[in-house]
Amino acid sequence: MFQPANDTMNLTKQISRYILQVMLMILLPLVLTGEADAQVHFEASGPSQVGTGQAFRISYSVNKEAKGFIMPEIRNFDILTGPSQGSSSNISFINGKVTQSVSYSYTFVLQAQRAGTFTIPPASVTVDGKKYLSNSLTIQVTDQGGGQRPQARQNARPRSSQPQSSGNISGNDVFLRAVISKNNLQLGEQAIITYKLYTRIPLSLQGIDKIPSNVGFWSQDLLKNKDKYLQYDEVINGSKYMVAEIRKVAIFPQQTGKLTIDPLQVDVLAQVTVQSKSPFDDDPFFNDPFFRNFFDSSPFSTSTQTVQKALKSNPVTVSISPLPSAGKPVDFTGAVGNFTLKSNIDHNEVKANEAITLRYTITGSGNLSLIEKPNLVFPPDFEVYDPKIVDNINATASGISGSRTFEYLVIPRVPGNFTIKPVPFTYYDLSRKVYTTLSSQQFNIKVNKGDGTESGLLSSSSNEDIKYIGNDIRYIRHNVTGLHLAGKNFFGNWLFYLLFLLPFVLFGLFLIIWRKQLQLRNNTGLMRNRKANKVATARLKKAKVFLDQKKQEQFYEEVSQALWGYISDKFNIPISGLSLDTALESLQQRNVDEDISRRFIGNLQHCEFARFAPGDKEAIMQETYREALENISKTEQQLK
Amino acid sequence: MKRFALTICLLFPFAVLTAETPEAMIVKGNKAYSQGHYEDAIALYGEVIRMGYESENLFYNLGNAYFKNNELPPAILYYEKALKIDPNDADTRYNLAVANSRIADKIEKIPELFYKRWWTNLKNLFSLDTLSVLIILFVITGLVLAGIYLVSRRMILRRVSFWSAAALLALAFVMLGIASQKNSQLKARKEGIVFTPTVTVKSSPDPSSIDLFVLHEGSKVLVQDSIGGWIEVKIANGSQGWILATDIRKI
Repeated sequence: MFQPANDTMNLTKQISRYILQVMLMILLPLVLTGEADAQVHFEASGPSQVGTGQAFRISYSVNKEAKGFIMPEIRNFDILTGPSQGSSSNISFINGKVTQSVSYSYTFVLQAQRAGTFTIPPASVTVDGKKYLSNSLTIQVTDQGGGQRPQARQNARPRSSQPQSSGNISGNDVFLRAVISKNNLQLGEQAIITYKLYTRIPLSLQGIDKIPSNVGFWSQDLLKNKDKYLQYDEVINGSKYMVAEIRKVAIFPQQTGKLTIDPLQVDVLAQVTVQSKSPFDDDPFFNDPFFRNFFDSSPFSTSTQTVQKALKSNPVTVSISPLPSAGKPVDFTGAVGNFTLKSNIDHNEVKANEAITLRYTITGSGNLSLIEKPNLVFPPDFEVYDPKIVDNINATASGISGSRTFEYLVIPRVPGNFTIKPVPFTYYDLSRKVYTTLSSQQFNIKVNKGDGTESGLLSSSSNEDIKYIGNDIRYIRHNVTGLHLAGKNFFGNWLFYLLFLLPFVLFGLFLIIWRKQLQLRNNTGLMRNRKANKVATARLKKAKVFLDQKKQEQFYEEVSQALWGYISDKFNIPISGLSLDTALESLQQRNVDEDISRRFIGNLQHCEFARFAPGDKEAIMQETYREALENISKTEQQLK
Repeated sequence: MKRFALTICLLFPFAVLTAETPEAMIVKGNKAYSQGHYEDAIALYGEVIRMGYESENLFYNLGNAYFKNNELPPAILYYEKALKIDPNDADTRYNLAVANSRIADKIEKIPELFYKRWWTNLKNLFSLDTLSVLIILFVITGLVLAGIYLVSRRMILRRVSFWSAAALLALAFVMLGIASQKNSQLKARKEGIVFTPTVTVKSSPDPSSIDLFVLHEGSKVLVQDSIGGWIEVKIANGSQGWILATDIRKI
């Protein structure tokens, strides 16, 4: 097609160049469109050399509308992200002609696991029902790790259709800013960080390169499901910038102190107007020396070029103050914001073994995702499953709001009336700066007897042991009696000794008084009774003296006196009133033995008789004395 | 007993004249306890003890408050103190068992010889105060019966009153013996509760001596001996060793 051009080489250089250039300008669109129609290029590109642990990018690009991308089997590398799909279309106006080219790309970010040379097999893609295979990539992994990543990536596009970055973009043309809604936060308070991309030049965002790790925060992306960035104009220092909010994150601090949020890194492709190499350099056809010269000197070679640039936002410092400890309820678990609590139950009356669903919904704005399940206490005869947590969280540009629902499925196993007590939910109210406790409803559940078909616990005939649910100490006593000063026990106290000894003293006093009384009242009768034996014995001793002296009369006198005296003393009868008959009667009255009584009386009779009839033998006197002694002692024994 | 407490109050009027009576403070403490303000209850009960008062119920309530405040060693200490006053209180025994089940150490008790056990049970049958009252009642009844024996002329009455008087008086003196032993034990304070979270029991009163075993807070020890800042302790399973006196608080 271009053969005629070679023929014109014989003409003067200047002319030929000029003509050709004109021709080319006419022909080029044809070439481009023709090529786009005819050929499908499916290419894999990636660095040829990386270090271990270093993240790098490989991309598959196809110049036609493609579908059915089948990724290669990637071994020895970790896939950090991908495949992320991208498409771009270029529309060129050249001399009034419109040229359109599309390109689809599939990008992976990989990380080498270990050193060595590895091959990534081709990927496949379907274009217009035809399957195309890409080239395979050979990557040499050296054991170094990081350091030269940008170069590695840029060098790694030997046949890339993308331009080499060579143009300069100044920091004023494009920059990235992180803006936080609030710098001074309380623990758990929500703040929104907006990453704004400012640009004065045409720009396309290639991808977020590094998302800050946000240590100490729990964060949620607010633009996750947005496919369009919010764009508007802003004037800074007299220059008008196009602003795109490329990332918006709600952060909830989880620790106190001064925390710094790392910068966000993005890669952008900027279109800059530069003197550049031809975009067709890569095409073998255009590498022809003639054409190279031809293009280099071309006055039309000034064109826009796409330049890659990494942008970094400013770090954001936030100071987080702790929540007030005053009045902090025990059951506070960290919910901060503004919430309402709703609870409901689907059935209040069920049969045993039928399921009940209980829902506790916490609605509001704040760190909803951090709310823990309510501490519900179910009756022990209920079978309880772990709650299902349903989140309906709206991540809008103004922050996180929505609801979190805890759905409990419980199955009562036995009939009866049960109560599910209200469960408290405590949060820190940011607007009012107080801890607020909400309480759910109390539910009364009536469980009726289930059908016999479902075997409940009750259908078994055996008794069940009592289930012990908790173990606690017994309650305090409200009785305040028994309080006394320490160490002052009743025992060992003077009062104790007093009360202990006093009875003995009183008893002693009683004894003395009693004896005195006794003597006073019964001095004659009782005293004589008590002393009767003694008196009689004393008389008999005297009689013994007379017996030894053989004074018969005095002897009998004494013995008789002793016997009569004894009867008189013992029975309290005056001597004058005594006779043998009364003596015998008295003895018999007091149940003295018949034999002893008679001998006593006989003894007396003999004494009376012998007193007035002297001449008794000594032996009889002896006998009488012995008998008197015996009679008195025997009678004494009998009378006791 | 009530009259006795009253007498004490009359004898020590200054105690009654302070801003708040100890009884009122205990009532306040009980209220704080029932509302769940255990720390306030501990402070109020503690103040009553600092004023020099004690009672079985006060120690029991204080033990409960400490238990609820998750302070096991003082809870055990006060339960033991309450049991020292009344060894048979079922509530205190139960709560002490609950508290003991939550401490780190589980010490196997060596069973005592049967007669020792009987003697201990006999000793624990009545509290010291009950025993004192009983002694006095027995002495009075015994002596009254002795008087009846002397005065009476009826044979049966004389015989019954004589023997019962003798039995009561003998019993009163046995109980006096028990009471005095109990009293000396009460005053001796030979038992203690470990308050240091972890204590290494040494073979001799010297920090460089061999470690024998480790005790944890809440365990009960019997103090055998003391030298300097060290005490020789014996635990329920019979093991002995030396620890610092500051590691325990005596019951």
